[in-house]
Amino acid sequence: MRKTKLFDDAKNHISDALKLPKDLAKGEALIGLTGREEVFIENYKGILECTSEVVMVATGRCRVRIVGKNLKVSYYTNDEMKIEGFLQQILFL
Amino acid sequence: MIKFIRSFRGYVRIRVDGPAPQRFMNLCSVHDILLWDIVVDGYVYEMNLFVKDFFRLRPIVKKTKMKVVLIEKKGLPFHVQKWKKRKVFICGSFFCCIGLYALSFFLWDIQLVQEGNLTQEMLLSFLQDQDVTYGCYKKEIDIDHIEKALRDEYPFIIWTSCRLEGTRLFVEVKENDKTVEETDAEQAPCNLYATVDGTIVSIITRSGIPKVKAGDVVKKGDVLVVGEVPVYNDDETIKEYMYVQSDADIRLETEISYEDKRSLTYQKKVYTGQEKTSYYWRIHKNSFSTARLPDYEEYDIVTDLKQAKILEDFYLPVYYGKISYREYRYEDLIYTEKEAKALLMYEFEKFCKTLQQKGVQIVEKNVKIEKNGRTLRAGGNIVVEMSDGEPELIRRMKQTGEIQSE
Repeated sequence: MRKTKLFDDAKNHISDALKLPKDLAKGEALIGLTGREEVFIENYKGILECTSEVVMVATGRCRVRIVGKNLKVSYYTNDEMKIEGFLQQILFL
Repeated sequence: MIKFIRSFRGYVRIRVDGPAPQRFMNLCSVHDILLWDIVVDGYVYEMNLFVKDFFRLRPIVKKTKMKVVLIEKKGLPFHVQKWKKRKVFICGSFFCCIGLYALSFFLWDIQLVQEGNLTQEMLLSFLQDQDVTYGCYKKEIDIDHIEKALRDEYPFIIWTSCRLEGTRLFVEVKENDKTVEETDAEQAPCNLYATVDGTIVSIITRSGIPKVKAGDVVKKGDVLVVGEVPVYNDDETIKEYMYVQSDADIRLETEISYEDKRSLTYQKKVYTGQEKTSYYWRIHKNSFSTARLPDYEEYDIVTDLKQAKILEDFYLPVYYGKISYREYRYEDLIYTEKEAKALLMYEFEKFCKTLQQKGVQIVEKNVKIEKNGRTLRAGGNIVVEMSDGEPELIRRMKQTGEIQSE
């Protein structure tokens, strides 16, 4: 356990020193918003919940919960997804 | 564009129902199956996917124990299946396209860009002589040859440009305002004579010998400048005559008589509002019409003809339009004296303007309007100053100095 923490710290230090993008180095999700009508998500693991009010997506470090109305997944591929609808909240759990 | 690609490849809309829809979607993404337009209605999910991917769903469905129902088929592959049953329609469409393609090899419209001395009728007649008519094969049209022949045929054309756009031939010409005089005539020896009676205002001679001076009264036909210049010996006897082309700026004051009449009664064309319309079609040289001549006494025929075209430049040999017959009758009306005077004045001003455009300077206007029964008459004289001196070729020349001219 301690070894893993040490390894993570070292990895963080190296990536910070080299100024590598965080989505590549740490597996962070990329989330892009267009107003409150569209949201693009990249670098995710999968969908956990999908209804017309809530879409929950698992990413490398946390879960992203998108709350809104009339939500619709415009497309869903292995790399990216686009959600359309009236966005109300984006929560990181 | 994305929609077009999706339609071209063909896609289906499916309804997914079962215990683990999220797992189903995640497995699809893992297997590189693209899903789009995912809509959730309660526990039922609807989504689109390509036809090829649909056949790859079986193991995922088995694994997730989902129920998949096909709702809709969209795209080209499914249309092709439908069209297999409509062979005549497909053949018709195919031959229609072939027909249009074949028609695009021929010329169906000729346009003169700007009409001047050369009119559309003259151009069409000229092109017909050159074997360029409606319906001729486009590749046989020699643009360079037409341009050259057009310049040769009409000397007033100084520049031509012909271009083919689609099934249309555009002809653009530029015309010379001044007609080119024969060089022989320019160099031929001549006298200048007066074309009207009048008084010389000024004379500046460039070549030849002036026979009049400013203030002289001349009559029509009098010689103003002679092109026969004597060459003297030392003893002041004439050795020989040198013949030159007379050239001079001569201003001459003369009177022009003007007369115009206008009756106070006149007839005016009044449309009764009665109108009959018939339709007209023409396919190449064969025309069809629903026309039946109306039983009106007097009528105007107005034809509105259009040529069928596809897009901007693909004109077809099909013409259509309507022919209107509008009934009218003449009504006898009377001008008031004021109206008639205004019309006479307008005509007079127009006459004066025409004179001024010809370079004639108006010195004095002595025109009066008189009433004579039911007619108004404008009459009188206009004193004008104008250029004069018409060249007259010297035909026969004798060394003795006697000249016969025409």
